Amino acid sequence: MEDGSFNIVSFVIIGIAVMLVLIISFLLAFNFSQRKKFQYQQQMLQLKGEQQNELIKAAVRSEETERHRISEELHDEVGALLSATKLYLSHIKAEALKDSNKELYVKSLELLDVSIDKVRSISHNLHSVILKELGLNEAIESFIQKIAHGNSLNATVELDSRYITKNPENNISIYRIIQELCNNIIKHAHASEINIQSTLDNNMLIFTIKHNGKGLNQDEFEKLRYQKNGLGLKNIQNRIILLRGQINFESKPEYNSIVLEVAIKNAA
Amino acid sequence: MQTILDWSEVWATLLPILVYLIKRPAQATLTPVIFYLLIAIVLNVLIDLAYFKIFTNNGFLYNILSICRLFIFIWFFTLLNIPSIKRNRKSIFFIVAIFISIIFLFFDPFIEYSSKVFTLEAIVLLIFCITYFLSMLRSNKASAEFDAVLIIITGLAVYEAVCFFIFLFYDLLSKEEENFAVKIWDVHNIAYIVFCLFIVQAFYGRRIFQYS
Repeated sequence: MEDGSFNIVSFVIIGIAVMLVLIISFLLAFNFSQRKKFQYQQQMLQLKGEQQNELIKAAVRSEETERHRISEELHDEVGALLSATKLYLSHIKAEALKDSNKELYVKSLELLDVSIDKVRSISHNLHSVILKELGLNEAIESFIQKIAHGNSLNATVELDSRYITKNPENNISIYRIIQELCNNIIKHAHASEINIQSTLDNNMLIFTIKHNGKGLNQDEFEKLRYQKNGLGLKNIQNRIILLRGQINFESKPEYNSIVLEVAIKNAA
Repeated sequence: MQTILDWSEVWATLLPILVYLIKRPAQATLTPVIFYLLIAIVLNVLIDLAYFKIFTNNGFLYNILSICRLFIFIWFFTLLNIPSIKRNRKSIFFIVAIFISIIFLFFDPFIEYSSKVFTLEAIVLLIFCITYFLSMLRSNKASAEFDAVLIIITGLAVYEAVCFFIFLFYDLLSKEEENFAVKIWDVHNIAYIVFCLFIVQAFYGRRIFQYS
């Protein structure tokens, strides 16, 4: 081999080796950098998710506090005033009134009774006293009894008695979701039959709400919850995020169903 | 073994074509690669037949293959979202065409293997590969999703980097060190097999590496 050609051969071999080392180093550095970037992104996403959960938690807590405040004011202030009014009215001697006024007096007393009942009912709805004292199943049963009584609605409840409250905050969220869903079924779906079932399966509490009204499917739910006036559905979604649960809407010709799945954990 | 290596440009090209026919990846950016594979299989068969004296000369076929690879992969890069390449795509095609014309008009006969055309191909495609990697490094996004384009570009970068010095000195080596030139072409063939395996991976659709 001549010197000149040896130089070319060596040059080519060294050149190939250098290029190979360079490209492999570059690819390794690229991979390392992308991996770091990906890990950073994941951390940021996690942080963002945690912050979002904290915000939702704060919003849900403040909503619950506000509900309690309004409930207490309704019960203690408006309820007390109405009761006092009834007391004063009952002191009026009906016999001394003219016939036309007597009729107005009786009507006023009736309306006052209805108002006192309404205020009490609204106050109880806003306050989760039954939920705290008797638990989720009883609170749902009591709520369903109330809405069935007030509307021409056939409501049935079959709840799993094995469920024992471990996290009261979760119970409030589940209760509010069921409340909102039932109110929507009556108000928007115009259902005449509602059935609520719950089952406890491998630390998962699954609620199935079936009704015969105008149902929603999952896509319609997703669309509606991004609408400006879909506050109730937004609240449902926020509470589901907080519970780390899932909700699925299904619309069938025979019946419509809403399945709510929540993982049951021990209280923190 | 030597015969397998000699025919590697044919069978290695067939591998991604077969995987494509089985998997049918529906990604618009992969269309140029499929075009390239179809052209490459025809030209490589003709090149290898010529090598075994069925034709008298295969240099012009190599030149056509290199020009096709260059233009098709430029087309491939223009389909990706790299602003600098997308913005100047017409000028890039035009400038490369001028360089190729200059090489064949003033330096090399088209009928003979042209190291200059191959070197031009290696330089241009290496620059494009590095531009792609840099654009990915500059972007704030990093995904753990399978990325067929990234895999193909990685394979192309390895192939062009390894073959750069082979292409650059092949003319000279074939005149002064014929035996070494034949041996070094085996290195090219191995790099080409690696490139085709990367394309196979891209078409097959499974992740090579995963960020965790």
